[in-house]
Amino acid sequence: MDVTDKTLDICFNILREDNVPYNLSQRIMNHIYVEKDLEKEISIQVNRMRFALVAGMALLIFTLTTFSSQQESGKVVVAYHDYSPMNYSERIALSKEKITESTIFCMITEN
Amino acid sequence: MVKPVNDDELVESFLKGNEHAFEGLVDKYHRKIFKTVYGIIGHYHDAIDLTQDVFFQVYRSIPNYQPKGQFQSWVFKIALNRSRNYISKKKILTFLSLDFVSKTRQSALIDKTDRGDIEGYSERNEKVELLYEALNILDYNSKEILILKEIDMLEYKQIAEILGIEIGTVKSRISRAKEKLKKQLIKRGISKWM
Repeated sequence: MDVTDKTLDICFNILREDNVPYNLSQRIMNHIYVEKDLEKEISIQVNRMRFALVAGMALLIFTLTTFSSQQESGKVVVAYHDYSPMNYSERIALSKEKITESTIFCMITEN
Repeated sequence: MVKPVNDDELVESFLKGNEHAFEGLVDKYHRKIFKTVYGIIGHYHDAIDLTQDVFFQVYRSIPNYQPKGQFQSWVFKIALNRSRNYISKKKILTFLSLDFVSKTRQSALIDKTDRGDIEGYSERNEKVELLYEALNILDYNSKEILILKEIDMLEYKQIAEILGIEIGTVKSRISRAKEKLKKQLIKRGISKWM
């Protein structure tokens, strides 16, 4: 038997009427909500990790800066305590660090 | 009388925070998208998963959608891309056997009979199975264009837009694809049940 266009139409009609899986639209929506929650959870975890990383870096920088400034202060204290005359570059360095005379005086007194 | 809401209005409503608007879009298109994906990949359960993925991608990408009244074409483009990716990943086109298609249709039958839709189903399912087998034998382009035109009932203009080809090319491809399908149906003895 020859297959005519009409036969094809009947075939396609059968495929068009074929049912889709039960409750498919609900399953799609559930899938979307699950994926969305998963993404949210991942995003929260990533943010936590970022926060921990930034906090760690900040702590590290703070520690290093404090340690470094303590060393520099020590030099100034020694310089003043020994009544050594300061050269031009040392004065520049002092002015950049915004250390006032009263600060230096306090440091000398403490030491 | 309630005015029917068009796709762009639903998208707009969804973007304003109304989640139910997206459910409206899913309700409207899930059947067509499932049939398209299933027709192309030929695997029932994977088609369900892929349909879910398509709508999740739509859900995520919807802020990038330009509302020009072409939501349907946009969703179909996503579905076809996902189906192509699936096929190229699994390379099932080359390994697809009739046995494989039969088994997947068989599992579909089990799913459907589970919900009590048994009466008159068996005979119709045989026909559906036979038709999907014939369709799956066709080359990708023929299969894709026949599904869009004859199962999803899209217009030539829409198909041309989705596939990025001229309307004339769409018509000639459909005509060639139908001839190929006819040959496959003859091979499968369609006269027995017509």
